Amino acid sequence: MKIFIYKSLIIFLLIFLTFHLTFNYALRSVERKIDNIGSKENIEIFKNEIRKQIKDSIKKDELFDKEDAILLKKFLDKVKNEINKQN
Amino acid sequence: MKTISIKLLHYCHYIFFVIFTVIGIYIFRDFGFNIDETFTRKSGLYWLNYLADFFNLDHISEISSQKLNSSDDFTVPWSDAYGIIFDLPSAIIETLFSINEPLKIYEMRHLLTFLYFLVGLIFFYKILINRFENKFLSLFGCFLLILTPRVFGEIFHNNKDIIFLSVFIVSIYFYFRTIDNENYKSLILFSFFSSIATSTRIFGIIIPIIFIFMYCLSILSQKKDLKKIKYIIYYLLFYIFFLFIHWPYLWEDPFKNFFSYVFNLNIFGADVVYFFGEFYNTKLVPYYYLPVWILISTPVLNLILFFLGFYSSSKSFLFKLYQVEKIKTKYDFWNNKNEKKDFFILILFIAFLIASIFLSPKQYNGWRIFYFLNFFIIFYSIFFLSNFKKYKKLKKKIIPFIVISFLLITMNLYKIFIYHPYQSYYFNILITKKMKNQFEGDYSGLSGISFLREVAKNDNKSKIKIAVNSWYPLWRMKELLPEKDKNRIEFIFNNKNNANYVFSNRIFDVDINKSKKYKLDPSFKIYKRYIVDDVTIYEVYIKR
Repeated sequence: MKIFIYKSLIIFLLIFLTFHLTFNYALRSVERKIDNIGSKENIEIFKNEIRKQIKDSIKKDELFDKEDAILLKKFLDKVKNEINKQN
Repeated sequence: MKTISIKLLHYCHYIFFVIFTVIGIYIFRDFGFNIDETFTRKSGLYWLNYLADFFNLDHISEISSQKLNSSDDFTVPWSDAYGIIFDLPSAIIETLFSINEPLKIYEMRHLLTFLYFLVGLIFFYKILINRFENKFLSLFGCFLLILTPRVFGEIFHNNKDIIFLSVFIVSIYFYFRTIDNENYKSLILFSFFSSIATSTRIFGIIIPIIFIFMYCLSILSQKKDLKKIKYIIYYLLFYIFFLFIHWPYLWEDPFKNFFSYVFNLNIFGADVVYFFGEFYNTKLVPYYYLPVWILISTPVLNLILFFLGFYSSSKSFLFKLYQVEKIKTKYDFWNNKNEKKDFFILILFIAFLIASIFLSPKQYNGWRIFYFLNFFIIFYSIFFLSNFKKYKKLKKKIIPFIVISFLLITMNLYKIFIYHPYQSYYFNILITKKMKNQFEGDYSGLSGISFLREVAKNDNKSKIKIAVNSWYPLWRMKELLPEKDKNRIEFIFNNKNNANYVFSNRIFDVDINKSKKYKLDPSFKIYKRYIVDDVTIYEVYIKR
């Protein structure tokens, strides 16, 4: 009986350590990355990047090529019509 | 002459403790003020006020209430959950002796912290004497403990972790006494101190768990030990009783408050720690966080002796486990009281290590909350030295061993000297110069008062404007200055550009590589960098 208990204790300890050093270790790394991406500082970096991109775009002569501009116009007209219908 | 020498040897432990006390009393004022001290002082005053109201001590209630209202300003959420073993006595001394000058209050607290440690050190000596029965080795163990710079640097201002270290040591001593005597007196004292250890740091709860675990193991070996269950029941009853009695936080709703304390530990401390040059969320630090800190900030001699001692102790118990079916001794893991003590220490150490690395909800700056692990490091060091004669191979190399140990101890002494009073930020020789600043330095904020004193001394301006560019409430230190300097110093909170000096102890609550929170105007240039042994303690910027 006691041998069984000792073995169980050791196996439990080994499982615990293996779980933490493999699965939980990997999980923690992923959690850390997610935490990093969603951190206040990173969001600020994203915001700044978007602002920069918008500023750069404004400086350009044309934002879209002709085909995209037509497509976008059609899309916006459709949206506009549907909104008007609702009203 | 010979009689004097014999007497000196006989009383050497007294001489050791007296010399250490004198040194402590001589230098305790040199140390800066710990960032947590305002918090723990408020905790003491809060509970003094509570108890004074409870026992209708109107005068004390009035004084403590006044003091309590004037103590505030926290960067972390306030909590009344902390144990009172240090905070309450210090608040009582402050109130009864009418210590009102802030500088005197904090100096009194530093002296008291040192005295708590001194008691812990005396009990550490008693533990080593009890286990190894060798006065010189026991004194050497105490010597190694105080020569551990990170411990030495904290014994004058860290009134949480050092108090826990001391209470923990006293608990272990009374466990050893319980093994020796198997009487109620030792058992009650053991339950009393383990309950105080639990209220001081929740890690203390592991002591009763391992105590019960040891009993279960003894039953597995000897069924007749079931008769001794009354000891366990008495222990648990006394443990719960003492926990409740000495911890007023539990008085109103014991279970709810206890579990609320255990499950809300996350609210304390910083959100990020700087480790290996990167900022980590304190709840998501890598598992190697604590082992790395121990390896880089513990003296090399302690590490070597610890590894040898731990290896030989664990090897002998693993051998017993392996032979458990074959060898028929009374108990499976111990043959005598000393082996039982060693086994208890081994299990306790493993439990603490696993809990600290894998189960700790959050890591604080550095590894200060785990400084009690130094007990195990030194215990195993002395364990190895006491068994030195058993190792035939090593016995032949005793001279080089003594020479190397002597050199390493001298180096330790030298480091304690050059780091003074910043021994808390010591790094050993296992880390390169460049790497030292990739870990946190002055997280206790010890340098703040030195900086303010220096500025007040060297700058004659009638108004000195100071801003802080790190996560550190330097303004708390202003009250510790003389009146004339206090009036000259003004803290700038909103626009750092208006400051004459910008101070930084390089501790941050955000990742400064990404955040702009601590980005200074380029017109500010470095004015001073206070460096000790290549560790930057603080920096000062001025406008050029």
